[in-house]
Amino acid sequence: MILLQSPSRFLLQVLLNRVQNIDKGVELDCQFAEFDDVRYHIQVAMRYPQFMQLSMSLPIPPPETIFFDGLPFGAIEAIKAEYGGVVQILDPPRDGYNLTMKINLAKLPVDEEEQYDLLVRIASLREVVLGAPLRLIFKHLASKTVAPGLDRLVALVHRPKESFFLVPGADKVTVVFPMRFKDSVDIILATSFLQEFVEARRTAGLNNAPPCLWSPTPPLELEGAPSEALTANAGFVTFVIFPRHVEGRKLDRAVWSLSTFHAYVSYHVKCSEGFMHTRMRRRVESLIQALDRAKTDTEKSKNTTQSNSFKRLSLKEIQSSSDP
Amino acid sequence: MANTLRLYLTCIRNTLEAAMCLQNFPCQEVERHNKPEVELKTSPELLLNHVLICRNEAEKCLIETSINSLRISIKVKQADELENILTKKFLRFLSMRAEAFQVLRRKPVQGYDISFLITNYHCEDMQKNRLIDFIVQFMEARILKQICMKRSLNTRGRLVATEFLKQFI
Repeated sequence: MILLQSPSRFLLQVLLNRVQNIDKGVELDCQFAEFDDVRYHIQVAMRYPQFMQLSMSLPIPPPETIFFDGLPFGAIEAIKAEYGGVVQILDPPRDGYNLTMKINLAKLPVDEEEQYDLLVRIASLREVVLGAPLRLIFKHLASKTVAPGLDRLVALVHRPKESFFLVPGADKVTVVFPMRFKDSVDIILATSFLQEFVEARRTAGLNNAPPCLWSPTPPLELEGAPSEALTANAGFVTFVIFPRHVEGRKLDRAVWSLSTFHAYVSYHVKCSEGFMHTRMRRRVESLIQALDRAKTDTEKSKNTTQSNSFKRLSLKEIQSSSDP
Repeated sequence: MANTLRLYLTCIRNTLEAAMCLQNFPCQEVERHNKPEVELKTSPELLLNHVLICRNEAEKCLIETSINSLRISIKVKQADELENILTKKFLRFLSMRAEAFQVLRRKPVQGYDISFLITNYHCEDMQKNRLIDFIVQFMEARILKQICMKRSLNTRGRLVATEFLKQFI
């Protein structure tokens, strides 16, 4: 899996399981977490098996991000547009969560394929909620207009207390990611990966991809952003999105990939670290074998006898040896 | 590139063959002790001249000899930060498994990345030429592997970036 998948596997599994056994009353109450501090809570009551309560908590937003009632702007409308009558948003949400909605499983489409599609879309709740502002801006970009009130620097949360920035314009949107990593090895690997993004963009096949820049210092677009947002230990990545990148069906993919860009890079950094470790382990093993080969054969047989430093004695032997 | 590497390794191999003539020698200062003299350096008459073999400024190999022990210290080239962490990680891996390696010194000599300490007991346990083979093979693999590992990391980065950017086409 190179790209991250938008629907949450676990959520989809639970939904499918519920739909298949809709008549069976089950008490269900479970919580689970996803990357970048997104948490879910699922609740099904015994008495109403056709209803499912799904709560979602988002990463804590930094002060520069605008949130309405604990949600990014445009999220409520996006949920309503995406799921229609199947989903009802409860206000206020559950304690400790940003959004709670009630899913009416009895109202799902009868046709199996349509039903599955809708369930996959419900499982992609993260994309709908966190990607809502991005989607709004890109939709305007596709029609070459600027969303009202969104013509200056916009900050969107993507990790706890961290945000990325957008500079919307009528003909292009500039997206800037300050990249921060905790581990020093991660920083170095991520930096080399990010430079590969710039390099890859230059190859012939990707001429039409969004222009990509990497710089260790904040780019000029970030003027006016709060100073704590301008420190990043792995530099800043800038993508310039043109209308042709968000046309039609590309919109969904663009929204998802940009809202999870940091997770994507960090996922691959971790993977390559794991890969490095496996290779090193194998190397060390082969080196130990090479050293063992250096030992003479006689030495090997001597070793096996010497390794039994402790001899297990039975009771009889102890007695016979103690009273000679 | 490969040619200079071979010359470097051949030089090390020849030096090691000449240097690895160790004999059992009990400590002169403390009775019933037998310690590697190259580490303790208690009496200068037991130490031999050390040999420093350099491929270039960043890559060198120091061979110190004494009557009953031999110390080989290696410095590996670290051109950038990526190579630096690759080396550091690998060496940490090795030092954590030093028990299994026997001839590996837990801590490298100052200024070097990795050190081996070979005593006369090791020479008695193992065949001398095989031991030399091991050291040379280790160095060769170390250098080649580092290049290979770095390349594979870069390839991975490129693939990741390409896949991401393809989303927008």
